[in-house]
Amino acid sequence: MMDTTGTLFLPPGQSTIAPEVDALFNFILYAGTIFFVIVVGVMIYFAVKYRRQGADAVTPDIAHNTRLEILWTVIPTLLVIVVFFWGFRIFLKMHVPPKDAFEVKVTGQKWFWSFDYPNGGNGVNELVVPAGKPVKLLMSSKDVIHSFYVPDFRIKMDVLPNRYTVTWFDAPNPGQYNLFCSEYCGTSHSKMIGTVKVLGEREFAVWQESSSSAGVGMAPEAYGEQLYTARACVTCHKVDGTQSTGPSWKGIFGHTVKLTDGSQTAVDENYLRESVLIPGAKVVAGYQNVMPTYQGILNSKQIDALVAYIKSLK
Amino acid sequence: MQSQTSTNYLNSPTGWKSWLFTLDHKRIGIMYLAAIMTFFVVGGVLALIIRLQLLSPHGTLVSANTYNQLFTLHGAIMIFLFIIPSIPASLGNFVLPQMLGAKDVAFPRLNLASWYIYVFGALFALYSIVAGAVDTGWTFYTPYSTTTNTSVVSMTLGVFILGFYSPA
Repeated sequence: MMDTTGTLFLPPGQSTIAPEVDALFNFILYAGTIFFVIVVGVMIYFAVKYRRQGADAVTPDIAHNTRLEILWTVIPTLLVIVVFFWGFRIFLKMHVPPKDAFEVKVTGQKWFWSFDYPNGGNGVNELVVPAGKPVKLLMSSKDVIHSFYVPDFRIKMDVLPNRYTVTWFDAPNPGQYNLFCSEYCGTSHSKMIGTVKVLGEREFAVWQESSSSAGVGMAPEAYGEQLYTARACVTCHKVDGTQSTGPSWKGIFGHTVKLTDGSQTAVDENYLRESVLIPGAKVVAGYQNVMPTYQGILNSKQIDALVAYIKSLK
Repeated sequence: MQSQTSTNYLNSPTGWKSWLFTLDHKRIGIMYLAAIMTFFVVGGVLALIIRLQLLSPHGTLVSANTYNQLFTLHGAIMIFLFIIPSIPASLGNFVLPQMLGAKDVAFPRLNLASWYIYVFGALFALYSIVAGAVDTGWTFYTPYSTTTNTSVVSMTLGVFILGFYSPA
């Protein structure tokens, strides 16, 4: 993963729009800095130079200075107009995806991202895209407002429930880039972190092939362990016995757990399956009913693999 | 002379009753200042805890939920109990009538009542901490605030009440 935590300034831009965004940002930053220095500098200089000279000093009666007033009205107005049109052009570019874009459906929910690809494949918290091709993201949320933010690409777009939002990017360089949720969305908002994996043409073709045959030839426990991270179970469930947003999976299989309504249930295959598909049905005491359903995100083979993985955690 | 029997700064009472029932704009201004500075300290302490948690990338001082409640309360207290009332209510009460050369504000009883409404609203906001501190951020934005289990209602009711004290 690209290390963007160690930089004080902007991380290097990795999309075609990034240089344009940075140019405008730098223009505003440096113009603002220069005028700050000029205005504050002159202010301090005048305060010292024209300070009261003595007890009987009289303040001169200065009404106005037309030339100065025109100057300090026209210059800032021009600057603001320039920044507006410059910014508006970039804004339009960022909001109109090219016609031939590779389209991915993005779904945000508490607290992970899922991606549906044109070939029917899907993934969680890892968006895999081809390098040097425009990628259009059609986004919506299953619960509250999230925001899709890739600092390296200079794109950020809110992801809302009950409607689509769209953004796009073209990342020329293969690599892995951080993806953050930048709209506060609850307990594990800070862990709603993903990756954008940009692959070269050949690697991307290979990945598209393999994404439809995931889990083939793997032991169910091993595939389940892979899904545990790949499908973001790890965000809320630990496997070392410590509490998180949800219960730890270690050693729960075969035991009896207390539920929030005071009753008890045995943790067997059917309970696990139900908890994945209808998480609110039986919530373990001491935890909040916050897990989203995985209906449509995990197929039955993947649920089998996860159940097998949980059984193996003793 | 009549003025010898009226109250002034030399002979005015100083007990707690003289403060809580005062109609003097300067005293009310000082009462506002005291209440507002109290909440400024509370909001500031919450900010300090947030910063302590962020000292390291894997801060373990507070849990994720507590952290969310901390920055929400910090924001709500600083916005509704500090920034909004600070200048108009305290300095406005204390200084403005003097600058205008007025004896007092136009409605001194209403002025005092405003302070009590401010305190009443603040108590509601504080009650929401006990009742399950809000974790929505100070904007209480939907749909998150309609789904969280915390006491959004008592906090927003407190903010609603605060809207009525409209500083004189």
